[in-house]
Amino acid sequence: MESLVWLSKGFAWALQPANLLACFLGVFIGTAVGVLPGLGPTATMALLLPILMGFPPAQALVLLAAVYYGAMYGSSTTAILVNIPGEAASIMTAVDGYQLARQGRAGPALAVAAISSFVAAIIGLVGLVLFAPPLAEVALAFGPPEYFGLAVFSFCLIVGLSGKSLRKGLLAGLLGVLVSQIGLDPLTAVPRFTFGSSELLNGVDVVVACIGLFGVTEILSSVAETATQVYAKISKLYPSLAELRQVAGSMLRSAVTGFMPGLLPGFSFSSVSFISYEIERRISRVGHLFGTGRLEAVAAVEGANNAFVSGQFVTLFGLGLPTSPVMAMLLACAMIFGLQPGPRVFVEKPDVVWTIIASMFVGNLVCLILNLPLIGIWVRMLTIPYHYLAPAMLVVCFIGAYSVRNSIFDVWVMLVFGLLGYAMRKLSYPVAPMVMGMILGPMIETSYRQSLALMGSISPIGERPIAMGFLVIAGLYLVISLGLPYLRARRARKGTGR
Amino acid sequence: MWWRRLNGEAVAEAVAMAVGAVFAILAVPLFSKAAHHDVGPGLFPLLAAAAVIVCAVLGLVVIGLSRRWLLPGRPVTPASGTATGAEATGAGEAPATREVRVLWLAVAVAAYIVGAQWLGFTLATLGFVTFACRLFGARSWVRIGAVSMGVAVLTYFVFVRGLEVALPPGILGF
Repeated sequence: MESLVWLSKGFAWALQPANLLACFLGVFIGTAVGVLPGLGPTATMALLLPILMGFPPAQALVLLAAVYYGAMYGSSTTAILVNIPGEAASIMTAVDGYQLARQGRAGPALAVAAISSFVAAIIGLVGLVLFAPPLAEVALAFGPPEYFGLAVFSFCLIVGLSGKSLRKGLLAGLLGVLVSQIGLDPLTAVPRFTFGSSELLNGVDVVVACIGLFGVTEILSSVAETATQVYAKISKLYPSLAELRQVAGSMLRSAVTGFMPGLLPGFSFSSVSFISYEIERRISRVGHLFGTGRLEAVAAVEGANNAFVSGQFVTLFGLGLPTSPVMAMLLACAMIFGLQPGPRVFVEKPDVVWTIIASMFVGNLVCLILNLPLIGIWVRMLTIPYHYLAPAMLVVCFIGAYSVRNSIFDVWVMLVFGLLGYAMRKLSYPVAPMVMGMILGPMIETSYRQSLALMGSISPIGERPIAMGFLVIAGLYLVISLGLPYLRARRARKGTGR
Repeated sequence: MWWRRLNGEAVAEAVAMAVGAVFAILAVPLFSKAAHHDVGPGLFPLLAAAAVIVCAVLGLVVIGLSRRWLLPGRPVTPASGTATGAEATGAGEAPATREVRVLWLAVAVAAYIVGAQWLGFTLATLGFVTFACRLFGARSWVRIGAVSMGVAVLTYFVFVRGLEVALPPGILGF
């Protein structure tokens, strides 16, 4: 009850002209940052900080927070339109979003992404307001053994991304794990598989690999097919009411699958979107069609991304614990402005905190209002003849890969992965498991070795209920995923009398 | 020429097995760097490499059992647009021709990367977009020139000047 009273005061502060303008500016900048490669929200916040030093703390933090969730709205645009995920958050959006664009349904895909982001973000914010203190405590129960269990469970979900051949999916996932081993060992800093190269000491960046595997591969495939127009004629710009009703369930579920992981350190956007995608694929009536262009898949991933942001703010405000690099930047900015996030912040600086929280409600509405009309402009881009569009897309890929670490080596890596992705597509090897292997490999290894250092051996993991819970669920998931198709096929053979 | 009919999947599995073997061999010396209560930097890559090898061997066994080492000779088929909504050109084009086009594009991208370091991002973009537009089938040199110039100038002002992304400047400074 007290939270609601403070929230209403927060709205009164957030709707003051100066704070409202800061919110709008932050959303605008964040959306642009999400659409354009070259800058992520973390770097943008660092660039804006010197400019904001003379501003009141509430205004400055409202703007910085708006940049963050604005970027989540914008990052889906290039993923859907041209299959280039500019941020890790939009990797899974590209899987179905781009297929929808090719079917002439880029408009509904972009609209569903924006609407789902809004719905899930609002639900996540309600969770932030009502449950911040008790939910934040859950984060304290997670240690290396729990992350090991979670990482193993996430790796098992590769089964869902493998398509028709589980063995090919597993091989791709394991190759991704091997690629993730290149660079410095996370615990001992010993160089591994660098072949004496100083560039390889930094490892292979996942975003660079994704730009190659998704964006460059797509363009190489289109030049092979001599397609003059990859995209079908645009049918309509916005989804129908029937389509919105179809995706409503996905939107609501994505709020939960995105918000809960946001409470925990160690989750990344890519793993959250992957888990949301897989859960929705299992639950949805049309889950078997995921990957061919389903609005439900786009809704699930985009909603989860934005709800994840809300969840992260719970631990930031509740415990003063940043759960990602962007949150760490926000925490640093908050401290510079005299705000010490943590349990005491709600008592010491309620006006600033509740202004930020209330502005997030307003800001998400602004994001929706800003993004929906822009759909027509983005979709018009697809009517550009493909022989002009494709080279421009390759230039964007170059910029995206180069700007990750200002390294030309990363652009070479992008090309290599582009060629690899082309070969994988020709031979029907799925690409998504390779990406997940690259993301989960370090998490599995680091958490396993940290657990060993903590407990002396791995056997005490049996005494950690959360960790064991994840491992048991992983085992059950594998048994059900592998066993069910086999039983169904056997039943079908018996039914036909064979 | 039997090698042209080699099953691509068999080659892919063999390559994966070779990659796994290389990683496994390179991981062995890392075991000596293990510390107390730590398995060291070598165990996990070795396990992953071993799993890759097992998966690849399984794949080769499956292909071997179905005797699909060599695919039957493929007749030349008309190019079919597998992309949804795609309008394909070049009916009757051999697969080899399509692969050559892919190779040309890959070489162009490689030249673009090298060129960006020497000539600078903007000039290299101008050259690359011109070549790539032709490769994708654009015919009008006027339009190609306009698009190349537009992309180069736009990316320079948006990313280099606007967002201050430090793209390679090259010998001319931009």
